[in-house]
Amino acid sequence: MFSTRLLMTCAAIGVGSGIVFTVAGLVNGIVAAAAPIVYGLAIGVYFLPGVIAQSLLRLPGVALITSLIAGLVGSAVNPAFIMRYLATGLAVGLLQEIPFAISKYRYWRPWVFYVAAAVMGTIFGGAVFIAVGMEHFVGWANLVYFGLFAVSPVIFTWLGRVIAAGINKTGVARGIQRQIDSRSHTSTTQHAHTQPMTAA
Amino acid sequence: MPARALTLDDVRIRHADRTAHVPAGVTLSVDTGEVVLLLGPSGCGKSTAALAINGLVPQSIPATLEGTISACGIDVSTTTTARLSEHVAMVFQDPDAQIVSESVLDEVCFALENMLLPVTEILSRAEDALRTVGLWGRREDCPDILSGGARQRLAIACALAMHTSILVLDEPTANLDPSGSDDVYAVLRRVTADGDRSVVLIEHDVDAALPIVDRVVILDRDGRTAFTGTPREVFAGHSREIASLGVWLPTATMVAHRLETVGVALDPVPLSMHDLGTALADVQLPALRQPLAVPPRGEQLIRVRDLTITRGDSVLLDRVSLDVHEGDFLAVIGANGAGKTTLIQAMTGVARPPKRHVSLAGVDAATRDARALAQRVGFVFQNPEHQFVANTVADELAYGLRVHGDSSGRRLEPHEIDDSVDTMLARLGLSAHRDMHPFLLSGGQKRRLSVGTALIVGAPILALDEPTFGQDRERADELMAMFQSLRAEGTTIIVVSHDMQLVAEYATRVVVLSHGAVAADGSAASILSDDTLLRRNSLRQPPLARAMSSLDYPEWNGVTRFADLPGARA
Amino acid sequence: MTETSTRPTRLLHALNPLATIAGPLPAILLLIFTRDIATPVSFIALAYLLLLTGSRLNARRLLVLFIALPAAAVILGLGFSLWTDASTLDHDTALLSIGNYRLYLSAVEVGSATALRLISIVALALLTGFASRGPDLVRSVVAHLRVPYRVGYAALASYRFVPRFRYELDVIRKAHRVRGTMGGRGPIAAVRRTIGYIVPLLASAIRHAERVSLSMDARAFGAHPSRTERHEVPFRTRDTMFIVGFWTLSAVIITSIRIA
Ligand SMILES: Nc1ncnc2c1ncn2[C@@H]1O[C@H](COP(=O)(O)OP(=O)(O)OP(=O)(O)O)[C@@H](O)[C@H]1O
Ligand SMILES: Nc1ncnc2c1ncn2[C@@H]1O[C@H](COP(=O)(O)OP(=O)(O)OP(=O)(O)O)[C@@H](O)[C@H]1O
Ligand SMILES: [Mg+2]
Ligand SMILES: [Mg+2]
Repeated sequence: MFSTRLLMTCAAIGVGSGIVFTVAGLVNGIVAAAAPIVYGLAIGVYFLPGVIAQSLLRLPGVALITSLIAGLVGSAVNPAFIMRYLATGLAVGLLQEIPFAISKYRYWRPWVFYVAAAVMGTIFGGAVFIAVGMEHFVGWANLVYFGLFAVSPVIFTWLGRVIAAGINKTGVARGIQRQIDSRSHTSTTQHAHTQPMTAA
Repeated sequence: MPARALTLDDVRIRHADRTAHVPAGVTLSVDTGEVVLLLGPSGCGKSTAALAINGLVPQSIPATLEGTISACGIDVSTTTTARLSEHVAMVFQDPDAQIVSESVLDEVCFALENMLLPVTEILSRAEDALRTVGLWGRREDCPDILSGGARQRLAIACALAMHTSILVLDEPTANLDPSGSDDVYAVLRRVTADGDRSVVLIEHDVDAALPIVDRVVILDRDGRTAFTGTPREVFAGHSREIASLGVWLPTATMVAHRLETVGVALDPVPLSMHDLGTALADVQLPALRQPLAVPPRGEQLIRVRDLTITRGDSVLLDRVSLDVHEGDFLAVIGANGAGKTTLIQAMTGVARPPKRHVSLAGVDAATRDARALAQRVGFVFQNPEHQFVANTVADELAYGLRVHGDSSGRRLEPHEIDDSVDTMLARLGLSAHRDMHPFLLSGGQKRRLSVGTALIVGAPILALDEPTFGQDRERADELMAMFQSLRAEGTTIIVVSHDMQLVAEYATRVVVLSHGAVAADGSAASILSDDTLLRRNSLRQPPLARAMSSLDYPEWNGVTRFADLPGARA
Repeated sequence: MTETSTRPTRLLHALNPLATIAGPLPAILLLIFTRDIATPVSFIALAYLLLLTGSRLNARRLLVLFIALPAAAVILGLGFSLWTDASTLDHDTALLSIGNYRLYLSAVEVGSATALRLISIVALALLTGFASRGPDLVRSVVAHLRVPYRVGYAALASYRFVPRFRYELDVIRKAHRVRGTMGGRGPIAAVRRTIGYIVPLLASAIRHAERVSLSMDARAFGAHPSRTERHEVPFRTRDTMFIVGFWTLSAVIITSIRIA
């Protein structure tokens, strides 16, 4: 069960990165209008809250909660668009849970993050592909447009991991983190023990 | 004999990832209706012990706990925090961190809702509690618009509404201006008067707390119970040992110490201002020290003219004009929200003021040139964690040198940087921590490091927002001594502080802010002796001045500083 | 939260937030797959009708409805038209020709369809955004969708973090200004600087969260499987009626356009 501290930590990460979110939302709008072709590049910012939470805490559910709260808080600035933010938060958070659920949340090596980000990016790109339609762009532009949706989560995953490594060094998350690789451990709920996080 | 409400028996706590036990053996007991003051040097584990009383340590904060704690006859180690909250209520230091809802009434109801009480019961308890702390009229307000003192009273109301027999308060007035703090103590006095609640109080401001306290427990540096007894037994019997632990003594006791060094023994040892007045009436007082000559003022360094700062509809600063000269030790004081932080940040260029209103050692403080700014001003923020930029203590100090070079702007060689860093580490007493992450230092160490980062660049102006906030006596003295010696070397110092005694001891000039405007600007002595002016601004005279002003010796009435008393600091 | 005096009378405000989500949801999902112009236009009309008659309007909301969304529609429409690959479209009418670039009417049609589709989705989502506040939404989700109240309350409490963290970010930026900034210009330096802000911000945010959680735990948070709720967000018959009505209307709109 989630402790209050863990829940509030997720909330803090969600709100902290949600503040970045709102700025990004603005930038996204401008970018979408001015040069729709590079819109995909900005989309990765929505992956940030989940990646930071997962890299730092390594626990089931943290990406979903953090993403949702980031969405909720992002919408506080412009309450009219709450559904847009929440839907993005929910979709991204759920996607981020999947790769780690496969290992029953016991394996958190960096490569999983990156592979997952690339796969999720492709799924995301695909969804946008359906919503926007490919009829808009000439061949090469299609590649750039949808390619950027796939690449951007990887870039932001890297960024999120750098940030998480920075937070990890400050020691504020001690006591609620899990291990990077707890597959071989027989003792089940081994809390804490700061494993120095491998650099992103 | 009344029943024991709470006992801690040789409690030792080791935080996860730590090697030492802090506290390493607290023993204390609280009877029903008793108020116990828990004192000890910073970092000795007072807060940790308080958190163990309702099981937050180790249930919410991972730690191992040895020894036994029993609250209302319940063994804390076998009961959940949630169950214990029916018996123990807590009030913490930071009012902001205790507020979770969007209205005053909802906030008080939060705990009661969690306890699954029926709605009518919740509302009647909430009303009682809010009336007790004087906030019933503001029940619909958002807690954000309450003053700091009112927010802390709200936190107390939340605890009262839980109808527990034990109340634990961890530095409930640390963030407040003197009048907010007075209000909180007025509430506490009312609450403890009934005698049906047992209270554990942790507080640095002994003078404020003593009037409501029945018993005092003092912890040593490792967090072992060193002394316990009535205030008189403890402070009169062991004041030397307590002072050497670095714990604040009552002001009256400190005066007695000082007089003792010149052969004036006060008996019985005074604990309150009133005691002191009585005791002094019976003895022949020695001559006062000649006040130290105020060093001549140097050239003008900062010049503020008609500075107005607005945010939205609110005026944060209202046509402020003032000058700061080389070698000044300027203190800015005022109520919570008077605009002190805004002023000190604008006059040092930390927050860019409007153009042409502030000139700072020859440049306009509105400059975008961060380098020019950093060479003129070292700034220490209210919360030191906000200003750390590097991953180790040593890098933190080296950062400024790497970016700015030495005071003339020359690039430094790596070995020169290392040398300066080592010297500064030694000066700050942080050599042993050079490779630690700044966030992992204790509160006092963080504060010293943040001062160090401001000093190492050699800026001629040093500005500090609440420099002694939450420090124990030893740390506070240490920091102030450091500023004093810097000033002797020619550094100009500006501080914002709620600690009136500190202002009295060290400031040469005081500016009182009131709603963003300068209400008074003058020498420390003239302002601190004007009680009406201070009270009008939610401030109080420093404790020493209050004690002295009621004496029968006219020449002692104006004394505000320990430095003016005969004798040496104990 | 204690606004009992001004009980909303407008339709959307009288609904449970979940109803305003569930009603338009099928339409939103279907819209994603449409390519024509009529469908999004009909739903935009429906959404505007409901928003204008069913919600309390203020200057800011009118701005969204009559300036922001139309402007976004025009800009998006133009953007998509310009980028559209016209090689497969008919070249009957050229609206504009610059050098050897030609903007065809057909491309503008495709671009507008895309823009209107996106705008219609946004407009339908505004039904929730205009009528209910985040906290009420959270409460409904807890009350009716079996989300644990602990999670819901964490979300509510996090609203209070926003002003505080914004203030802290401001302080951190000032602190970095006075410490001087390392390393020049360009995107890499900018990223590094941003990380320099965001790490201390998040670290102190987590510290703060820890303190808040202690204060919550000390107040019996999570002691029981449920808690007394003084602010009920009921799900009434009218909510069901709204959902069913909206679904029916959506089906009617879509089929009639298909037939016509
Ligand atoms: N969550 C934690 N994890 C690890 N160590 C901790 C934690 N909380 C406190 N400590 C350490 O335990 C020691 C005691 O801290 P505590 O906060 O109890 O001191 P204190 O007596 O309340 O000090 P102060 O007067 O400064 O508030 C300190 O060395 C501190 O660094
Ligand atoms: N960005 C802002 N927008 C609006 N109001 C602000 C802003 N920053 C500060 N204030 C308000 O301006 C007033 C002055 O704030 P300031 O922080 O300077 O007070 P202070 O004297 O330092 O108080 P304290 O003793 O509590 O530190 C306060 O009422 C505060 O709420
Ligand atoms: Mg403490
Ligand atoms: Mg301030």
